[in-house]
Amino acid sequence: MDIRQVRDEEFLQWRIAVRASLGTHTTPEDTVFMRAHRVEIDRLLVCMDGDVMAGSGGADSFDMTLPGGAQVPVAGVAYITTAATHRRRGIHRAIMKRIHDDARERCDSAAILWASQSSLYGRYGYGNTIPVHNWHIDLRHTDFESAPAWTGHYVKAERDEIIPLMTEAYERARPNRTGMITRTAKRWQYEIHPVHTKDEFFIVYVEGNDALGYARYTIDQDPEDEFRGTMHVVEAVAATDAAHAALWRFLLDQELVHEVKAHARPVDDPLIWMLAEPRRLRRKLTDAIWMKFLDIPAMLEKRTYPVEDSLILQVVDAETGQPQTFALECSPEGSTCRETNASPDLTMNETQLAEIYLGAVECSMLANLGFVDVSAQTPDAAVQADSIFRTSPAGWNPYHF
Amino acid sequence: MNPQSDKSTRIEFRDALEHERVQYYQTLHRGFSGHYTPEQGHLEHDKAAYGPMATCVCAFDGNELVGTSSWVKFELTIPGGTTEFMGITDVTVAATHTRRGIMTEMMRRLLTKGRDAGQHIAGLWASESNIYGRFGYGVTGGGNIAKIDNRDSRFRAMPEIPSEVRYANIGEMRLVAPNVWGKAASVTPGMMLRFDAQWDWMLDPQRAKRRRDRQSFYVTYSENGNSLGYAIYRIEHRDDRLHSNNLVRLDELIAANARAEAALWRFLLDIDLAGEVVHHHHPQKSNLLWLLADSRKLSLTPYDSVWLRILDPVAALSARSYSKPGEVTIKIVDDFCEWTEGVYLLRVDERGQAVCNLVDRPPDVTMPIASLGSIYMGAMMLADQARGGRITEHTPGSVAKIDTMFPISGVHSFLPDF
Repeated sequence: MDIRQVRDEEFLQWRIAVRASLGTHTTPEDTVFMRAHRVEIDRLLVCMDGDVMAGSGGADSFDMTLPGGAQVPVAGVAYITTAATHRRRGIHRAIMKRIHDDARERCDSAAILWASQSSLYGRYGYGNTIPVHNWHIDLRHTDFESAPAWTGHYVKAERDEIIPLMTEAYERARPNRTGMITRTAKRWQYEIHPVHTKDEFFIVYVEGNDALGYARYTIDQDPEDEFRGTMHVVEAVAATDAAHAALWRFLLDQELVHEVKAHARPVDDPLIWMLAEPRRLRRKLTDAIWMKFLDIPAMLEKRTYPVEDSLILQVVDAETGQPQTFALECSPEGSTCRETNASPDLTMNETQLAEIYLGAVECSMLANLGFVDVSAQTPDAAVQADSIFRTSPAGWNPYHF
Repeated sequence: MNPQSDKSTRIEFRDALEHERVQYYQTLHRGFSGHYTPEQGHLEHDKAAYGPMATCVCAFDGNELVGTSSWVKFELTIPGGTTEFMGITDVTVAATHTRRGIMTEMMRRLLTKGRDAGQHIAGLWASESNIYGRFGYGVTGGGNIAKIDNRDSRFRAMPEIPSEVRYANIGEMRLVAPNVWGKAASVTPGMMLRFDAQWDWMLDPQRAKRRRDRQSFYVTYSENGNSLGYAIYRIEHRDDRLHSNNLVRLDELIAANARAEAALWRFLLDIDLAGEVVHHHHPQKSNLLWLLADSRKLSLTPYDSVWLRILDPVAALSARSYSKPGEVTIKIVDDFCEWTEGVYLLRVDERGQAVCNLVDRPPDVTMPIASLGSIYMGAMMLADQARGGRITEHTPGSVAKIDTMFPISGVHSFLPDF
């Protein structure tokens, strides 16, 4: 077995192998478009068994927003497959290791991914860092009881003119929303590909000359009942609370639609507090972004925290079992994080740190379950960590890369 | 005078009398789209559990009972302690008499009664989510409908569990369950102490016998004779000859600590011949989610549970403890119970203890009384409501400051005991 970079001339073969492992087909045209607009070929890996492609993996380069607005480089891990003919030979583990080694060399601070199964990545140190809600909204009685006032207007644009407007709104939202990642101009073209998005409608919310939010959606009509269409919100991104309210008012006011479905919404989306009948919004929790630290001190230092405090954290590497201890001095304005020899207040696996890092779970809950050790000298440290890592707005990444 | 108000003048509001109890229950059940067909002993149970009819506020049209409501005094766990709590229940208006202000008048009388009796918080489970906001109630806590596919429901790692789960009979449960409940309630905001009459009814052996196929199973978890957890569940047999696919319906899982909870979950997920466990009163913050190796085995659908209504902000805010110290002035807007309006100064010391008083000062933040109810139990973030347009922030950063003070660590549990 040989793991190496994918060569340009074998990209089509690689893409066919990746899609086949995930149960879909691809076309040469699509692959050419993808090669030109999406992938970084020097970040793509293949595992060769002779001349057979037995496994694949890779990463896209993104910057991710942290609480307080800092941007850190992350590896957006994707394309991970193992051919069903080659299971249980360690290919997955070897590819993941290579991806992490490469990413560290490139100075990525973390690796993030959308998992095909939620049990796969904990072993490599990934934690369930950003959970989301999937929505199902019954469109009867969706009046707002309260909403921030909005003064802008809607622009319904066609595909060829939509990308600059969406980019503008996305870039206004991204620096203020923990978890959002960059989308390059080429990547926008890939996302809004005419074939992939042929059924999509686009709406942009504009104030003055500024695009502040957009939504992409499709509508499925019920062949048996023309009054019972279903709207699928592909993506709704807003840079301000007013833009959020305006977009959702638009999305909930469609004719001939009786339900709206939206995937991967923030767990703290304020819509639930706006509806006069909040139970019309049914939510279901699921994991979205799994994250692994590649540079713990950078990640701890670059985010801001809601309170001023300090903590000594011992973090155990999920793969090597090696512990490292860090002293975190944190505050709403700025923080420092350094390696230390001091005795730790809290000891945890890197997976657990990834899960408490953006407040997806309270450290004290993991401590009560026995997944985090609390030093007898500092019995309140876990509860202290709860206040430190509480994150508002919660992490969110609408981008299914 | 419009015909509406003409009609409403006929309505008389008063307590129900003891001889009207059955009529009260009939109206109540019809209000929730059911019939009153009491099981043997049910009337006696209700008398014992909910006390005299004097706590009811009813609406009569002549001799006809057309509106029901009542309240029960509970001891509720709040962050850092317990407090008396006005549990409002039974709120119905006959469908023949809606839209005449009957509900509004009953609610006004109930809340005024509560205030006069020295209650500082009231709460309820809402039948519909669009009713109670206008009366100053805010969602203070949620639950989850949890469905677990228990095939391959391994834990990430097994917490150290020094003891084992054991089956119990109903008589043993009658002794163990209130004991465990008391321990759990003392550390779990949102829980209320159950009355003996409630336990007697719930764990009545005669009643259990009559239920036959719907009989519950009981298990307990204890360490060195110290009871720390129990679960009550039923099994629904599903006719599937090829797969073992029974449904475990978990009615109640109460644990005094996370270790006991983990032990009980492991037991429940390992029941033979079952394919799914359903738990309707799963906490908003789920320990199980973080125990499972494959979190997608657990489907969580959040819902609003208790809606809280602050009647006396000074007493209520002073009664709980807080996560972080700080000082903030909050202006309360309340157009239903005007007596709560004002600017409140909340000062929290390093130990999390609070002093609260009315002041004549400009506020840092203005919020409706419902929003204060929402954040009261420490399970909701004010920022989410601010982003939804409910809050006015006068001093930048004050919403974020409140969100360092009010939210608290740990699991809340809100159960429909009233």
